[in-house]
Amino acid sequence: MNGRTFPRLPSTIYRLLLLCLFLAGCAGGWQTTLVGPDGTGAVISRATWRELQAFVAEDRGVTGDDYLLLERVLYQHGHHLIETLTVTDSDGVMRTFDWDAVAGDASWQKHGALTIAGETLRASRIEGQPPALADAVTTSLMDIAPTAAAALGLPAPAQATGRVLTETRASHVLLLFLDAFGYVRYTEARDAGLIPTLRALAEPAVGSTVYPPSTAVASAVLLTGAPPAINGAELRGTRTTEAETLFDVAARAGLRVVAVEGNALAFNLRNAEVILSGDRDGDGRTDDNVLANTLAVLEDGMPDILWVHFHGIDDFGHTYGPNTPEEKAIIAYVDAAVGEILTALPPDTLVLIVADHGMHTVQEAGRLGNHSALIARDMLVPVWVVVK
Amino acid sequence: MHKRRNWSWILIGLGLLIALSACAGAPRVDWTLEISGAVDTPLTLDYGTLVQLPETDLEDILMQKSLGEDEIGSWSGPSLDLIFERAGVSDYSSVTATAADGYAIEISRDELQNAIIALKKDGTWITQAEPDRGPIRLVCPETPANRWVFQIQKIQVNP
Repeated sequence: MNGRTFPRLPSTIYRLLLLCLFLAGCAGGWQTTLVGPDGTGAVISRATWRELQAFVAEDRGVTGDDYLLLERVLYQHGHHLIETLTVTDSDGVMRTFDWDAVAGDASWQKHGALTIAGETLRASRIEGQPPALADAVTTSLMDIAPTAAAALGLPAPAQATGRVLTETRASHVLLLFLDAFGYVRYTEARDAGLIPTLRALAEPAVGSTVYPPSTAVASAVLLTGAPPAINGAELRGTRTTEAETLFDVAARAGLRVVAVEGNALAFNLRNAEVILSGDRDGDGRTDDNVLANTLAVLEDGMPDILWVHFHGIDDFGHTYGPNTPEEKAIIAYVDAAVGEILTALPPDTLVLIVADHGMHTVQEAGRLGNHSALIARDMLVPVWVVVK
Repeated sequence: MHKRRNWSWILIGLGLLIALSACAGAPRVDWTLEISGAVDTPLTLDYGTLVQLPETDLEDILMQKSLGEDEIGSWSGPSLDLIFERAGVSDYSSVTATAADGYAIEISRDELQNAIIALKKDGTWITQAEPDRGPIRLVCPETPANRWVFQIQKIQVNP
């Protein structure tokens, strides 16, 4: 009996200790296998949750509430576009959800449970399926800054990870930024005959934006050529980046950069001469003011880089919803404005036309359109590379 | 002995009161607000000067937020009209407000009705209540939140 190591305690206490250990294990540990787009599985656990803790306030909108948007976790694990999501629960039952319908309300609780379409599930495995259009993606917003820099004979911004889309050299670069004119909406507008100017250009490449698909986050990517995790602008409210931008590179080379914006500057465009275009004529839109200011800049002499941001498609999309008469009218207006700008451009200009994100229909208080999901309508953007 | 002890307690109490009242005063903040553009007298107002200006209180006013719930709050600080009066602004169509981080927005005159340069939110100095949104904020009642420029540094008056 000398080998006995445990003290003599009533068996009830041992049972209680075992129960406590069991309960502690249940409370603190959970894990789910998340299958990435390449088919490999990653284990999502409480540790993953802790890594993404910084996003909780943004996702919930209220500091302190403990859930993440499920999309946040999916994006961090390689899912950039989802059509359906298959969830296998702890009993082995598989459920498939139309992501377009449930994305906005799908969340991941701190204790490991998922809430999707009003149901609470304990998932053992999650797998996202992309839409067929995902196969058509050939570029991303990361490619814009390196392409513009290369055209002017400049190095790409220091942290850029994007690639150069054309080896064409040019004296000037025009970056036309069509806010919220996503690729899906482009195809619809093209087929409806709303955009004769853009249709006359070569068919755009299908590009992907970043998550969350929003102007500030996408602007940082456009300027730096680097993804949000590198340029540091990962939240919608971020207004600046510490990473080097295309405009920084241009300024260092002594080039002139002019940015014509709508009424507000969504992102810090340091090293650019910024021209804001408020609705001074009170007609309820700023795109006419953007056009007028852009034409004035061109009349004075095309700068080395000209950034022009039309905001109306986004404004009208939020207010009236995509595919409404008001939103169609502003798309047609912006298309005509693009035509005027292209006509006024000097030769030897590389024109890059992009959107920051798309828009989908919602029924929310105060708005009928929004952009926030890992769906084709929000995440895919058209990218035109045109040499004039 | 009792009387002397009582006096010492009164003196200590008075000292505490003085210290507390000093704490309750305006915080010392290194911040300036520039007023330029279509003005007779360009101004550079430091935080101490803004604190000294007559305060306007806006109680329970709405901030329309594009994300999350709209917010209702009370804000205090000198009115924009008063500052513009001192800068000699006679007529203007809009202002361009610029924040410390480079954010800028052009705001029409109509949207600046009853606007103030807020120093306090719900009775607390903004620099203490919301350090990352202070020390001063342009507050434009009944307008979207992107007009409420926090950490505002410049106001350019457009003719």
